[in-house]
Amino acid sequence: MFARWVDMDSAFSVMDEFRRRMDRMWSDLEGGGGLLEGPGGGSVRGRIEDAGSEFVIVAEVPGLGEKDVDVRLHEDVLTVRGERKADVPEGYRAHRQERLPVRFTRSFSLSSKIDAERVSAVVKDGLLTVRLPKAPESRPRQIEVKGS
Amino acid sequence: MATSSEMAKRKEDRPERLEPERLGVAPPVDIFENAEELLIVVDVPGVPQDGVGIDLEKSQLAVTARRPDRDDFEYRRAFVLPGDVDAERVSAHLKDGVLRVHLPKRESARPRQIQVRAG
Repeated sequence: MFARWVDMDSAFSVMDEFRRRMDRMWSDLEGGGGLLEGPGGGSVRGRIEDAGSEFVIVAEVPGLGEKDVDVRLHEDVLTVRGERKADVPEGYRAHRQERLPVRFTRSFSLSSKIDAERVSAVVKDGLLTVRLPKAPESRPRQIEVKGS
Repeated sequence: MATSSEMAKRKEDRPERLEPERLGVAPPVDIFENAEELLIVVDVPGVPQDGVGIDLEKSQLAVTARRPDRDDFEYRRAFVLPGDVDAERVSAHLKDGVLRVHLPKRESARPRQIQVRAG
């Protein structure tokens, strides 16, 4: 099967590389950036977009309102924290429970300097949207192309 | 074995899809029950008031929900309900991306306490 011993090594390293790429793909789908999980073991689904003049982070926080989410920015790392408590209605018995209580922490490391004064965060319909305008020097600039 | 005329017919039968079909994603649900009703709770973050469709046909309840920020998928979940649900009185509420569907039981299905009278 293997013409030379060294071929087997390279076969395994190909599999390693493939697995690394798969891991990266999943974390990209998950929203990229850093991913920290809090003591409750929970993380929250989200995505981060680079919209040129700002970053936009969207995290899914169903059942949570503005008071239930904590958003912090420190040195270009945005951290979102929150807790969704169990909401079993009193007097009912449960046939199925997939919506688990979760305490989550999720961090996104931002690749550009942020204008901290103009960061905004809104919770609506169970979605947290954080807009992080980039500092002026970090915004993409269009360079005018002149004819000579 | 398909003849060439059969193959041509099959192509004509299939309608062109103008809009790519959305992927269906199953949202997490809780199902609760008490003496009066079944209560189904569904996590549908990002879905506004007008983004939810609830269809009740015979004993099947189908929930679909769309988010304006994602056009590549929709939330979809279906349930087979027990026979004692009163379809006329089903109600649903959406708040903070959580949908609650109340399925009251038919009057006759509710456990009733029979009063024991003297004499």
